[in-house]
Amino acid sequence: MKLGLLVPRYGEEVVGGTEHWLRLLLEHLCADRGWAAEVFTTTAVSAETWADDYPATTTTVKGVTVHRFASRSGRNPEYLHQLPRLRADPAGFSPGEAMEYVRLVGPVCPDAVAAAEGSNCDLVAVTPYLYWPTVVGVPALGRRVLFHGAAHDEPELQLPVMERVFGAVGGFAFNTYSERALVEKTFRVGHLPSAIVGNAVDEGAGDPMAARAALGLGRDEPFVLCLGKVERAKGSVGLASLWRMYRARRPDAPRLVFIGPVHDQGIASAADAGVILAGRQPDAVKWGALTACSLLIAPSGQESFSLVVLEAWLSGRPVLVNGRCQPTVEHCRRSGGGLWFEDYGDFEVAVDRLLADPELGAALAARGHAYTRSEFAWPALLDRYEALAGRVLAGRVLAGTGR
Amino acid sequence: MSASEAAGPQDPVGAGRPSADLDELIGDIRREAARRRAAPDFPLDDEARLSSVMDGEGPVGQGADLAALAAALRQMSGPADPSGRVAGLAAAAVAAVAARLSHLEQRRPIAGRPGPAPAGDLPDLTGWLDEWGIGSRGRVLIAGEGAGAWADRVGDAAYAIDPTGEQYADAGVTRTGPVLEHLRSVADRALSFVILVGGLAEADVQHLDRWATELARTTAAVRVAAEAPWAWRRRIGEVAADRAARRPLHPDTWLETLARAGFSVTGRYGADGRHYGVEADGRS
Repeated sequence: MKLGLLVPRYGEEVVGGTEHWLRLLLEHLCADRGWAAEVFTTTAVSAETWADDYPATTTTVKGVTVHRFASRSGRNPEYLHQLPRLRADPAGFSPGEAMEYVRLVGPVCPDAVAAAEGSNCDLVAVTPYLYWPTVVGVPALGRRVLFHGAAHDEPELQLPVMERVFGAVGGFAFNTYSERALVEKTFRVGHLPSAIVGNAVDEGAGDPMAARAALGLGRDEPFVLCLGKVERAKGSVGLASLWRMYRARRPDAPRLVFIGPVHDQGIASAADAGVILAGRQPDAVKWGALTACSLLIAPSGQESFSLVVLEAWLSGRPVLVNGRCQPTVEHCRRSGGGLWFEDYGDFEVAVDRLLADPELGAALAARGHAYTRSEFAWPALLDRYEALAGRVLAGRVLAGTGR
Repeated sequence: MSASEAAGPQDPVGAGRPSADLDELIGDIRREAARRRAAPDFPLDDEARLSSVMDGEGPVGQGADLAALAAALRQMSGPADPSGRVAGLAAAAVAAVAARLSHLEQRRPIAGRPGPAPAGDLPDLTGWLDEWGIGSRGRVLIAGEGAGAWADRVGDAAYAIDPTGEQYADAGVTRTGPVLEHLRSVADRALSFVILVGGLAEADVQHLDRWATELARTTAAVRVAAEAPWAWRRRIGEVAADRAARRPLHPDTWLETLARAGFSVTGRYGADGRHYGVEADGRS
């Protein structure tokens, strides 16, 4: 099997997100299953700007051939002016207005799309759903696309151009059952081959004491952890506010530590002395903190998978997730190993229980650990992916779709 | 896999604790939260404000109407409720209902009494597939047969849906979930065949119009393979059969339903006399 990948950014410097996950997948497919792979992408590292950080050339990254093309335009801040209308009435955008919005979000890179289209790859994986290369490239590639949409329940999914994108693909690799339910509720694509593939999780290592020192915590100080980008859309501001109220009612409560790049300064007004904004930290600090924390809180209402929940379970720590987020609640339900909150009241009770009863937390985490190991270890995941790719390929052949 | 299955026999969450099941634990937390909300020192207004913040950062679809109602209630206060406490409680109640509905949406509908003719009771009728000419003419949906034998026999073109399977328990080409709900997610004329195997417990008489509409919209042809009604009546008794909440339909019911949907239909019985098939082609 030769698999292409059309993606807005690719490389070892691209950290987090579905692009990072697809890089690992390609490397494992090539190394463990003997697949060939080729990547068609831009020269960008940053999704905030899509600026040209890499040279426009063909290179090899960990055994995978990567073709990088310069974009005609990156992320144009003009798109921000359309956000209020997008949030209020996304379906009210005309197709032309929707394409203009996608163009402003970028990265506009026709060369990457053309190279993927002209390649001899059996299938082309495309991710994520909302950027220009996907919206333009998927209809061109058609049933050759194995789509990693990473769809969220957000206004962009309702843009009129998206029906053409989701309806054109050959099959879907979903992160969760919740993502599949969302996509099939939004678009009539239930007949297309699909599988709940998820993301593989690799356990890292880190010294808890070194992490405590790096984060400014005492040797035995209990703390609660939140991992990932610190921004309003990830629920960070809401969590900081919840924690401030919790500490107002529980003066002895531990401190809350945010590890991750701070993209929203609004967090500063929501936080108080009980909150540590540690910023971006090395992987060793992250894994050390996971081992040392009392529990992990995942406050985001918009995740398509959430690796951090599974990473906490691998570290033997319980999790508390936002009940508005279907995929993270799904992890908790499938594993039986996590709790979720809707309002402050149940947040307070859940935190009280987990902090007061380490045995309960350990038991929940053990369930989550078993779930993560059985469902998201590389061999199981690659098996699912190979089977799905075979079905998508067979569907292409049956449909007589040459391309 | 259910929470209790995931836990396993050594699970310390379940060992001697009142919260053996995750739903029980969550329910326990909700009840305790409700008790705390009723206390005079609970910051209801602050909770309502923070919930609005979290709602604003959340997804746009699920429970949006109820979330909006909860938000509106949180804004309410007046002469009869100067502190806004009643409005706050009402908002919290609506939010709890919204959350509960959201959870229910995620859960598989629980079947009532099981249908009397599960697919597993059918003898091997997959030979009918050859007679029906189902092969490489396009995408084929096998509905109601969880073991996958029919889909295996058809090959790469087929996928299956098992309406009786556990939630989150897809296996190979077989997915789990309600068949009618799945058909609603299928594009117009995207299927070459829909094969309804066994009694298809979901195919309740009351919903036949919906079945007819979705089948006519999505597929070029329908095939039904089921146990003949007198066979299962004999097995479970006339009274039980009459009272069965879900049952394999009489072949004449399928013939009439599919004909009304515009299909050209014929029916026939298997050589053993205990089973019947219905063939519905194209739209007249």
